[in-house]
Amino acid sequence: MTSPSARLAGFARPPRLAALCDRLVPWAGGLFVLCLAAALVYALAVAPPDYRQGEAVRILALSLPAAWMAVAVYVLAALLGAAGLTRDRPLVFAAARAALAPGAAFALIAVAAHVLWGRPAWNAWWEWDGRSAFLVLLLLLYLGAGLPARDGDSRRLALLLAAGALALPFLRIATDWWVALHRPEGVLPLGDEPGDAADPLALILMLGAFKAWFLTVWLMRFSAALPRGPEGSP
Amino acid sequence: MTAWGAVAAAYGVALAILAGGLLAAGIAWQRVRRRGNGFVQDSFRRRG
Repeated sequence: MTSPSARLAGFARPPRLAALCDRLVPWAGGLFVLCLAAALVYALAVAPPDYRQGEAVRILALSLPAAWMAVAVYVLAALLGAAGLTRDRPLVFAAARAALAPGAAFALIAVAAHVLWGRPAWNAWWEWDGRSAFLVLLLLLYLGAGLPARDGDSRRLALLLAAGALALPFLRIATDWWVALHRPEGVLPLGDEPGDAADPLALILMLGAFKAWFLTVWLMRFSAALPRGPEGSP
Repeated sequence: MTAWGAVAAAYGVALAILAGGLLAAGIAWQRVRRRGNGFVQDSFRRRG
């Protein structure tokens, strides 16, 4: 009888890992469709308009979860890259590489939604305040990390990801250091100051949809990166 | 641009990016599942 750790280690063999990913993809995709439907109905039809922003507050249900996901996925990729560096694990590098494109998609959604929200809410398409600038920097970090990922140089990729991760804390403290249009203390309607309050349930539902989307795309990209012969071959 | 116009544009862009990402990853994944990706175990280790 094999020990639990030996059975677990068996999943690290690429063929078994690919089979596991392939089985999980439809479930993750189904979860995404359900979460997205719930998030869209709630954010667009059920959640009330904000008394100051009006209907434009509905865009925050997109831009905020997308920005959170962009940061979270970058941290995940940087940690995987660091783990791959220490033990030279090609599977871990492949997982880091597979996360880059979906992470960049979140950064792009966050920037696009931010621009479209800024016009009705701030009366300006864009404002280079601290948090907006670091959001663009994050998008550039993704694009920069994607270059060595393409030519397969895993060590350079891991070092680039780790160097870029040093900028991430500034995304959080940017609103404390540079007092500008973003409110400093976060996004949820805490305290008496309404500020840029977004509906918490709309944020949570959209975050769930984004997480399921990321899982689906990440699993497909990771599975496609694993070594495989043509169908039917071992 | 009205507020609802901005909302529609933001959701349109976001859904297009999500659908495009899903489609691109899905096509690549299915192609690899059918035809393989030319790797064998040894070359994968060297590639990493």
